Parts: sequence; structure tokens; C-alpha cells
Amino acid sequence: MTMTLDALRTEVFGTPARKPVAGALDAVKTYGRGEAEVRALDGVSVDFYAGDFTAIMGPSGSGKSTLMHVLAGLDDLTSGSVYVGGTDLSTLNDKALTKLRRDRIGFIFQAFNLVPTLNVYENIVLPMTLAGRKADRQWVEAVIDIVGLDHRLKHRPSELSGGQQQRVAVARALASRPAIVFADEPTGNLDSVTGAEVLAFMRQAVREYGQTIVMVTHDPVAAGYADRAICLVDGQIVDELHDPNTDSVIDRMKTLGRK
Amino acid sequence: MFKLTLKNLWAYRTRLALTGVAVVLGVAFMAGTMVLTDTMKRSFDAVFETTNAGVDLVVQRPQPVGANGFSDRQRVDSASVDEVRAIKGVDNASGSILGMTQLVNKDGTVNPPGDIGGTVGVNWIDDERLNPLRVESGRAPVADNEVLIDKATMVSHGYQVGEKVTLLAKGRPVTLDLVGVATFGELDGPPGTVLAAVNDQTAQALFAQPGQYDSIVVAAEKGTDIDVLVADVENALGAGNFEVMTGAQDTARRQDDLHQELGFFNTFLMAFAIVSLFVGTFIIYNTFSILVAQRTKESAMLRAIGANKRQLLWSTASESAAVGVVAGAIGLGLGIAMSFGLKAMVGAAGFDVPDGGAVIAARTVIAALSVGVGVTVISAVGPAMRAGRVRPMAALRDVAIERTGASVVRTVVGIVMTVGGVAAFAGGIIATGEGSLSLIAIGFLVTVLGFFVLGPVIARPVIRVLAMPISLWGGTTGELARENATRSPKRTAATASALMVGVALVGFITILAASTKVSVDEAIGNSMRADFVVETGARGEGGFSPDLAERLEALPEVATVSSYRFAPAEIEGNAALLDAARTETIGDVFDLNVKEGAIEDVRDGSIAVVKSKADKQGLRMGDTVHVRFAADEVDLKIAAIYDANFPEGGYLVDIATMEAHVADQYDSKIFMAIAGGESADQVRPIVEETIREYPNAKLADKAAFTRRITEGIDAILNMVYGLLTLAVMIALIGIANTLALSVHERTREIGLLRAVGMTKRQVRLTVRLESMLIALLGVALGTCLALGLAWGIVKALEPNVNHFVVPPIEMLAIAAVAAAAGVFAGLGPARRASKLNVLDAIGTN
Repeated sequence: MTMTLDALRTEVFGTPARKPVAGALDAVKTYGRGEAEVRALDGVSVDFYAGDFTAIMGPSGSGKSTLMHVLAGLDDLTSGSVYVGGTDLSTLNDKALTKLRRDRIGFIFQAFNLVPTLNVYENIVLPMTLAGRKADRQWVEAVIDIVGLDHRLKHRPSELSGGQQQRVAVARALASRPAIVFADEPTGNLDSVTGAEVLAFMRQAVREYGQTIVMVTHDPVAAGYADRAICLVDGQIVDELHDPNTDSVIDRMKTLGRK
Repeated sequence: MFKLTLKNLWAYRTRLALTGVAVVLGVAFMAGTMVLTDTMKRSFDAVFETTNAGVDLVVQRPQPVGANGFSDRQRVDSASVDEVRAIKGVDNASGSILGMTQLVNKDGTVNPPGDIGGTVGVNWIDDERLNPLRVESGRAPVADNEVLIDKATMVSHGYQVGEKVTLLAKGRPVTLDLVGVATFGELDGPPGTVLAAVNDQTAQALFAQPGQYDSIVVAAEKGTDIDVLVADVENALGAGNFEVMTGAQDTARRQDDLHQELGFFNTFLMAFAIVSLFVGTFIIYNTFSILVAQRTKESAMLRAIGANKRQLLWSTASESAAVGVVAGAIGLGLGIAMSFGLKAMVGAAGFDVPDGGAVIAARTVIAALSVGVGVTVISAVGPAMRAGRVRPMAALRDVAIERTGASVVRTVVGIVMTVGGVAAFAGGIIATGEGSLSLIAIGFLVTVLGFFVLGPVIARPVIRVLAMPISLWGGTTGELARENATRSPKRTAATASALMVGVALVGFITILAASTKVSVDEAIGNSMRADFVVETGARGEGGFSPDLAERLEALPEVATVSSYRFAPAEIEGNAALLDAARTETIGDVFDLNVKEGAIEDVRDGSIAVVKSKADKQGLRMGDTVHVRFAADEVDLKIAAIYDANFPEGGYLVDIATMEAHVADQYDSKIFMAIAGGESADQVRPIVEETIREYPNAKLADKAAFTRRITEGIDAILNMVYGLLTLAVMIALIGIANTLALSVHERTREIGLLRAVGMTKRQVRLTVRLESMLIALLGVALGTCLALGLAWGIVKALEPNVNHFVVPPIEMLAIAAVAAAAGVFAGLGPARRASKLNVLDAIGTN
């Protein structure tokens, strides 16, 4: 590599600054009507800052996945607004939303992250090729290097282990240099050792390249890798932890559980 | 388990309905054909029953000769009629004439004599028992210049009693007074037939010979034992000279003859039903294969909780049976509806089938349902067995995409079948005689099945090649389409196979027709020396009186005239059509490419043989050929061996020979060369003036003559194309079905692609391109088959077809249409794929 990592970061993100790249304002999402109405999001307002690794925590049904889906333009709000990079997502049609996802957002899902017919490299550069853009070779190589997949590029997803597949997913999420990466329980299907590896890569991406990552998880260990943890209960933000570690998260979850 | 079958049927109703369509169309075609032929049989059976309703005995000369729908029988003298009338027990006997004629339309044209019934001329018989006609208005013909026609013809031709009517028959055209109109039994006229009745003298002059009748019809005295009377008549007339039948026997014989004629029609239509069903089997097989694969987890779970293999097998099998029953029933209904359409179609072609409803025989219902169920269940047996073999452990594992395709066994079996099929095909071509055609057919079938078996092996490499231009242009979508098309080679190959069969048949017919046309063009171009040809403008029937040739020859502007005609005969024990031409002059107007002897030497007592027949039967110059005519038989010496594909019969005699042995003479073509110093443009109007009196004679120059022959090929081609469209349509349903199932299978994958930024347009494009690739695979394989088969057949048809022509534009058009159709088939699945809800698809909700 000819460029130092710091120089690369500066080139990619400019001067690091604390500015929000995505967020929600009074976000409300309801399902069903009348008696059966469920408020998945009940007036959530939150900002995600550039270069931050945020964990969204909460018990199942708390609305954490819904929050991620609306932030990523996969689902729409009942009221309120969400934005990514200054764009109000409610103003966008499906085509524009698709473009936004392709060009500005990276995804890591819990499972089934990869297209089975494409090999590892093709999967990593997929968002770029869908856009008809040439991938930035240097950057892609750097990303591949970080996740340690340089010997597997020609392999198909079915020939990889679950941990390796998630590493490919991380590489793909980073490869297009998105404004923000959303990860939905990225370690949910992995054992603790490989899960820790994947989380370390994500952590590294934030530290070294200033990547913004929002991760939905219910695993306190995973949340321990984040800079900030937001706790959701019944569609509302009830708590926020800065520089959480596993223990502090567990403690906080216990108190929430008692409420 | 039964409940599960029902639930599965409901859950996959759209897919199964589409699968069923393939069976429905095939069964409909089959049932429609059966209903139509049964209906036609019934109408004609009724015609013959009506004709013979009051006839107790039919007496005629034995041993008729006949081939290709033409027949000839010796006539009886009027003295024999008197003899029969005098026999004890005979109440009345009458000579009956039924001959060939053409009725001129009011506008001076004639209808082409292509109908089954044609136009017949009969003599009026006054005895109502012996005559099915009943005068409705006017009166029966009495004088020599009077005629009566059937009511249906009067209506369709717009004639009125009191008008003049012109008939074309022996001699020059005659114009008669229309004195009456009659009904035929309960009908306005015999279906599909124009009927003209005249008195005995006129009938003999126009349709038979003076003093002769075609047969004798007898009404017995009341209370006479008919069997005894048959023996009495036989004895009185002299055993062996006459054939005496009861009216009922005669009716049955005529019905049998007609059933045989309809049999060809039946076989022709049935062939398309079989093609449809054959193509359908691929689709059913494929759909059930995919359904079973998709249900692997469910089946495994059922196995885990205690369902046995047999229950799973039966569940799938009964599912297919249900599809078969429903499809068979719908197909039957559609077929009955279709038979009305077919009836209208043949009606438009001048062949009316009387009303009175379609005949739906129990046999038709049973055949439709059993074929529907049979085809579906047999096609689904393989997949059903696979369902039974699912292991309980599969429930716990993720379903892996089936990527296998190129197993060694498959490769070996496929190659063995293909090679064997080609060998059988080639063997059938090289071999001559009876079994060769079925060997060719079996070879074709085995080759197709060999391709089917090999399909999964070759699908991947072939699609990679086909996808090259798409990958260059299509980027990721193109690449994904290619990868999707190759991810399950078995499925792709099976889907493409249906189209392969359709393209193979269409391509085969196209190449064969093009090759034939070029060969015919060349042959006629090389052989025709005539400036003009007078033709009947239709197939050989309804030729014109030899008078015309004489009148043309009398023209000073015409140098040479050689007419050509043919008659049924038995040659060397085989039913055939014997050709005749004026051998003295034929060489001047048509080069027969004589190899040995000289055509001018073919005179009375001699014959010319086409080289291919002579070679096949080991005949040489000077050998004798035994020919039996209706009246007598004769040994003819071979005086020339020629090598030309016209005339088609292969045996040629001088017209004088034919006149000596055959009673009725009609020319079918007259070749003419104009005199030196005359120009064709100047002679044409003079010839046209001469033939104007004969509305059935059409004048053609060399180009028009060639065109008329090739037009005939085109007409057949268009009909075959129309019917094969059905097979291609079924194949498209198959592609749509497979893709819809594949899209369903890839729901999560499509969701993922959408989440990471694939636009709806790109999703649609991917599916459409995949569809096109599958279609192109079918086209590629089908074209290979078509080329191979057509080449084989052309070789087999040598020397009649001696050019192998692959028309590039037509072949490219077939490929383009099939590829476009492939995209069309992918439209529905593509739309569905693009409309998937992303959140539902990625399954995180």
C-alpha cells in the first residue's frame, strides 16, 4: 500500500468532524389499526454521527429492527421523518431510495448476505457494478486485506464458513464507501469466536477509516464494541450509554427489565 | 396425507394451472380431431345409407384399381341391366352412373375440385327406391338437354330453375336447361358435393360411355330372400364376371373406403396433438421436479414425524393425477369447441359437414381423460419418486441449490442414445422398403431424447457461449442472468427441451421445404422446354377433355402439343397412378432426362420407367412390367429409362396405350411449344381465347408453372407452421412456469439484491435475460437437430430433392422469434420478481 491509512481516511472523509450523517425526528411507525394497532416506533428522535459506531439495543419487539429499516429506506414511516446525508427519505420514490441504498448505505444482515451465484469478489463489488461504476481497486483491496479474504476471492459463498461469509458481507458493506453502514444482528448466526472477529473488523473500520456504523443487536457482548448504545423499549428510546462495555450494558439491561 | 395433497394443489394452483395448459392444449387437439372425424364419418355414413336406402342389390364389375383417392372400375353394358331385370325376384333394375364433372359458376369460373365429395354427375332414375333424390321444385330431367341439381348447390351457386347450366365433362363443355331441383334424402344435398342429374343418354355421353353404366341397382320383389337373389343374379350373369352385393354390403364398403380416406386426415391432425403432448411432458416433468425440490424441507419434516416413503410418493403422484383429470376434462371441452372451429374451417374450404351436432363418442371422452391423466402422471413419476427418497435429515439442513448436471452416467447414456438415434435415423434413410420410415421416426425420437438426457451436460457451456454478447453489454444483470440460467443445468435443460422440440420441427420443415423448392425450381428449369402449360389449376382431379389438346394443336401458332394424364392402375402388383404423355412429342416440350433407350420408342406395348424405381426393383431395358387396368391387364416392355421427378408416378406410357385400356380420358396438363418465328406475347392471347371455353383450364408460362408447384409447398408449410405454433406456445408456458418457480425460490436473494441497491428495472432485466438465454438454448439445440434431420431426409429423398438448402433469413427469423418469445415468457415472472417486498424477501420482518 502506498498511502498511509490516515491519509486515506482524510482523502475519503475529509476532515473528521462530529456531524450527523443520518437520523430520525419524531419517527412513528404503526402496524394494524384500532384495537390491534401496534406502535413499533413511538416518536423516536436520534442522530448518528460520522465516524461513530452505534449499537441499537432492546428486547425483541422493542422496535430496533424497524428503526433500522426505516433509516435504511427499506420501510416507510407513519409520521415523522428520517434522513440520510441531508436527504429526507420520505421525499424519495422507490427508484431514488434504491439508488440511495446502493450508493450511500452499506448493509450487513444476520444471514443470507451474499448472492450464491456470484463469487466473493463479485459479491464485494456488487453495489458498484449494479450502479455501473468501476470499483476503486485500491480501496477494495484494502478492505479485502482487512477482512483477510485475499485467498478466497474466486470462491462461491457456499464454499465458505458462516464466519467467512459474514466477513465478505462486512467487506461488501465497506467497499462502496457508504455514508453509513447498517448491520442487523451481524453476529447472530456465529459462534462467539468468529462473532468477535467480525465485530473487530467493524470496529477497525470505524477507528481507522472513520466509517459510520449502526448495528442492531440484543447481544451485550456485541454492544460492547460500540461507541454508543441506544436502548429501545416499546418503540421509545429509554436510555443511552457512551463507550459501553459488556458489563455496563448487562447492568443497564437488568434495570430496564425491572421497570 | 390426502389433505396435504389438496393443500399443495391449492398452494401451487397457478403453477399447476399453467402446467395443465400444456395438457389441455394437447388433449383438446386430440379430442377435437376425434370429434370432427366422428362427425364427418357420421354425416357420410348417412349419405351412403340414404343413397342405398331402397337398394336391395348392387351389381358391378369386380376388381377395381385405385390409388391416392382415384379409382377405376370396368363398366356394365345396358344388356346386363335388362338381363338382371328379367331375373325372378327382381322387381326393378336400373343402370346407375356416377361420374366426374364440374359445374361452371354463374361468373364463368369453376371451383377447384378439392372437396372430398367433389362434383358428381349421375343419371336420373325414376324408381324412388333406387334414387335418393326427391324433386322439390320443377321436374326430373327427361330430354337430352335437361339437368337437375341438388337444392344445396342451387342455393350456394344461385341458380334458378329455367336458367342455363354449363357442365364440364367428357368432350366439349355442354350447356343444359335447369329443369328441376331435388333434395337428397332429408338433406338439401349430399354434404360437400355438387350433384347434377341428367337422363341416361346424356349421362353416358358426359360421364361414362354410350350404352354403359357404372353399376346396376336392384329393387327386389316384396318377400324375396335377398341372399338367394344374390346367388341367382351371380349365376345368371356368369360367376366371376360380376360382383353382386346387397345394398347393405355396398353401403358398408363405401363407408369403409371413406373412413380410410378420413384416416389420413385424422392422422395428420393427430400428429400435432402428439407433438403438443410430447412437448407438454417436458413441462410437467420440470414443474413437478421444481415443486418437489422446493418442498424438500417440508417432505423431510413429514418423514421425520413419521410419513413413509410411499405416502410422500403417492401424495405427489395423486397431485399430478388431479392436474391430469382437470386438464383432461378441460381439454375435452375445449376440443369439442375446437371441433366446431375445425368444422367451420373445412366448411370454408368448401367441405360442408351437415349440422346435427358434433358426435362425441364415449371413446373420445375416455381417450381424452386417460391421455390427460396418463401423460401427467407418467411425466410426474420421476419427481414423485424423488419426493419419496427425501431423507428426514434434510429438514435440518439448508436446501442447497442443485448444481449437478454433468454426471458420467448421464453423459454416457446421453451420448449412447444420441449416437444410437442418429444411427437408426441414418439406417432408416439408407434402408429402403417398409420399415424404413418407422426406423427414421424412431431414430428421430431417440435422438431427441438423447439430446434431452445430454441437455444438463451441455447446458452450461452452451449458455456460456450464448451469453457472451449479453455479458459484454449487460454488466451485472447479464452476468447474474447467465449464472442463474446455469445454476441448475437440469432445470434449464428440461425447460429448453420443450422449445427445442418445437424449433427442431419448425426448422426441419423450413429446411426441407426450401430444399425441395430449390430442387423443383432447378428440375423444372432444366427440363421445361414448353412455352406454355395448360393446367387444371388444382390437383389432378377434374382434368379437361382431350378435345382441348386437339384444338390447341390445330392452332397454326403452336408447333408442338403434348398432353399429360394419369389413371389408376396396378403396376407389378402395387396400386399406383400410371402416367401417360404423348411420347412422340413430349421430348420437345419436357426433357425427361432419358438415360437409356428413347422416349419416342415408348409406343403401344412399351413403357418408360424412372431410374430410381428401375434401380430399386432391378428392372432393365427390355424387361416387362405387368400392368392391370380396370378392364384388362397387359405386359409392357421397358423401352426407356428416364431420370426426372416429373411426372411423379414413375411409370410412363404413351397416351395411345392408356386410351386402349382406360375408359375415361382426361388431360391434366398440356405442354405447348410455339412455332418458330412467333413470340410468346403474341401467341398468349390466341391460346387464351381457345381455352376460354374451358373454365377449368389455366394457362401458365414456365415461371408461373414453377411458382404454382412451389406455392403448393408454401401452402402446406403455412398449415404446418400454424399447427406447430401450438407446440412453441406450450414450450413458452414451460419457460414462464420454470422462471416463476425459480423466482419464488430466489425470493431472499432478490430481496438482498434489492436491499444492496438493485433497481426494479435491473431485477426485471435479469429475469428477462435469463428467460432469453433459456430460449436461446432451446433454439440452439433445436437448430442442431433440425439441420441434422433435414440433411438426413434430403439425402433420403435424392434424387427428387438434390439440394440441401438452409434458408438463412428464415432460420434467423425462427431464432429471433423464439428468443423474443423467450423474453415474452419471462415478462410475468420478471414483473413478479421486481415487485417483491424487500423486507418480506429478506425475511427479517
